[in-house]
Amino acid sequence: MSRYFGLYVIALLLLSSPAILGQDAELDNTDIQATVKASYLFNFAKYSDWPEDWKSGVFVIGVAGNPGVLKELREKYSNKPIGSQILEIREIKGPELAGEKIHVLFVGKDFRDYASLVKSCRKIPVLIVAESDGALDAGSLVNFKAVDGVLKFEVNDTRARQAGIKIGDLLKGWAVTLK
Amino acid sequence: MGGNIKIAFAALWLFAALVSSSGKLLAQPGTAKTQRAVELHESGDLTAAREQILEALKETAAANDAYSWYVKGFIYKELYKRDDQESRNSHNREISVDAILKAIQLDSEDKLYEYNRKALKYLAQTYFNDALLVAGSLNKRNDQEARKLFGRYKELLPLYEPQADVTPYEVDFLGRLASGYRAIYHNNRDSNYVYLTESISCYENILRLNNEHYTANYNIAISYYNLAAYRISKIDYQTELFDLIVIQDECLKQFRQSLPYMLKADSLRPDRKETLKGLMAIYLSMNDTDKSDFHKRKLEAIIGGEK
Repeated sequence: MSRYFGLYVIALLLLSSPAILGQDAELDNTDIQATVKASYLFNFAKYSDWPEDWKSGVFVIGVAGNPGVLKELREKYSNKPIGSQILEIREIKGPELAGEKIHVLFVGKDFRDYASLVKSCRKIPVLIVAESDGALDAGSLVNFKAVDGVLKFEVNDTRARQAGIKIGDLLKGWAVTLK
Repeated sequence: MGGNIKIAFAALWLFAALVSSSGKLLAQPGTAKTQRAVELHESGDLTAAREQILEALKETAAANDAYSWYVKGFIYKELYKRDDQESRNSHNREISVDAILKAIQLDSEDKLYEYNRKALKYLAQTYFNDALLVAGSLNKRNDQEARKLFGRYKELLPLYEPQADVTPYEVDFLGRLASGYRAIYHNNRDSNYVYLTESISCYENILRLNNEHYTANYNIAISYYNLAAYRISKIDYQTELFDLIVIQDECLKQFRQSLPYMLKADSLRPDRKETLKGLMAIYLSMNDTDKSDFHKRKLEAIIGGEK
């Protein structure tokens, strides 16, 4: 009788359980864009050089307008070393830096105060990284750019030098555009 | 989905049929020893009935008699039900099947056709049920057992139902097997990669049987996408720039593998939110924000319409 009961149970399960009907696999919720961009930002920090007076204290990556990248950086990169400095991740909310010492500033494409934020970085060595077409001509030193489906970056080395930042040869070698 | 319902109702029917009519052995003239085996079966002494029919079949008359083989098959079927219900490797079941097949072979005038068919159907269904049960609790050691059990069912089905289409049953079995392999892979995604490929292979086999199978298309797409997403999720502060480029290149291939399956799934069920989410994610991962945004808007429209 238990065999019959087993059949009965199978039948009921077949009728009722989505698991047995061939369950949908679940989409991985990794924020792929944020993961890749965060890794790039860390490498930009590692392979660039700042003036001597910016090499003491914490090394700061600021993020404006991209919560995904901010989260990824905080989770995986906070307190990791950049040279002899310890990395701190900071969220930038306002339209200007207001005296904050930021080494790398990533400005997300939806950040509405992009222009004023970039303006507030004039004459200080902030590696401004953006993710918008034409951003290199609008004040950023590095800009993310998709090439054949792969996220790469372009570099404005001339402006970087003017800002006092030496972008490493490794970065320049991988840049899809170098100005 | 339709196939599963058919299978479910078939199982319910089988349950009802078995409860109401099990254990009735056809009585008809046979050799004296075969008749004695039938009597012993009727009296409820299955062990003695088994010994008697084995003895009977040593004689040429019985060995060439379809009815005697049918009786042997029936007695062993009852022994299987009595002793081996939980055993997926039951010898009684195998012996019963072989005896029924022999009875069919000798029954040139099809006098026992319905009885042999009924017995074989019961036995075949138990293989199918066992195959589903094993596939539903798959581990690294029992996948071949599941395949073997289903293989036996597939082999027997045309013998008792020549016009039957095994496709819905096979699709159901492969779907379960694929889910089982995927679960093993998820237990340890680094060392169990081979089980993901097995899972994908099962879904591809489903598509060979039915190219319009939504779940198989969707799950293959998700498998490739997730494989790449997992690789990317492991990027951290130790990932060098060169590796970052290489990882992206390799993952792009998997996103591209994923895309046609998700597009096919979308064409089969255009308004399903999960598929649209999948397309959004795949296109975004390929850095095609325009197409990702297009599917995002479609998704938002569907969600908006639900409110």
